Amino acid sequence: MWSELAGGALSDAARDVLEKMCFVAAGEIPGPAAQQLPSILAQVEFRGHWTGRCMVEMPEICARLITGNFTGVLNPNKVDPMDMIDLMCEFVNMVCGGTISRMQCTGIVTLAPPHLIWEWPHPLERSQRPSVERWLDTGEGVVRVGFETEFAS
Amino acid sequence: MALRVLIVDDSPVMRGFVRRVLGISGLSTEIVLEASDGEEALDMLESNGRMDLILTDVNMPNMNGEEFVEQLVARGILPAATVVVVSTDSTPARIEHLRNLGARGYLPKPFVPEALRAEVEIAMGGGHVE
Repeated sequence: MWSELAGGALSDAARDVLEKMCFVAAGEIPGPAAQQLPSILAQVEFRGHWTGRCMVEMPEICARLITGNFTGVLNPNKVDPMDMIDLMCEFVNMVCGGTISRMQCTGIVTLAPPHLIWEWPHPLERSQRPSVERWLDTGEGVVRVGFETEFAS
Repeated sequence: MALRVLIVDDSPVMRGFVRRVLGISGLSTEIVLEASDGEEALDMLESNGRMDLILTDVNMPNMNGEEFVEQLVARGILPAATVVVVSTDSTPARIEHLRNLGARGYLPKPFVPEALRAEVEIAMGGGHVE
């Protein structure tokens, strides 16, 4: 029950960010897709009424494209790498906030500063909390999003 | 009346996005300034004088959006200026809290460009779109 609600909220939140502010259409794909390309990952932790974290992983080529769309740089090869890092952090921030809102959290939750991570959290590390993952195909690569929280029942 | 606008967000790409959206929104602007947190924004307000519209994030280092709005009230900058909060957090508890502090508008991220103009119009009571 929780995983269906959280998974739907997570997928909708990620698609919302991609479409509204990165101007990229994305469709959910059913299963995990192994990233074949160099990827960039970001995470944000939150605490308050709920405690947990949200993660995003996408191929660098995809991150470059959506950063270009977001910043108005038409040529993805001219995207500033610092802007790409900033965009990844904002992206995971928005996905996290959107997911929490969609799950109708009734209290105040505060997000910590988002940051890059070097690898996706290992499943064993995440087993203490309920978690979900979803995958969205942008046509320029698959965006993987994950969400975990305590007080999830 | 052309608006004097201050954008407060710790993300440079988000500030740039909001600035570009303002540029195409039809809102008439005299000046658009940017600050990366509440502290810097207060310094800018001190040195640049009156601002008509302040668009602020919530989660920021040094001084977050809530502390910033509290300071605006304490320094008498509100209610003369209009504050619209632009944040990833759109839980009802957060929105109610910020409105009680003095924010007149609340725009959840992500947003489409038209939504920013609409929220500003509502918060300022209309009359600022060319």
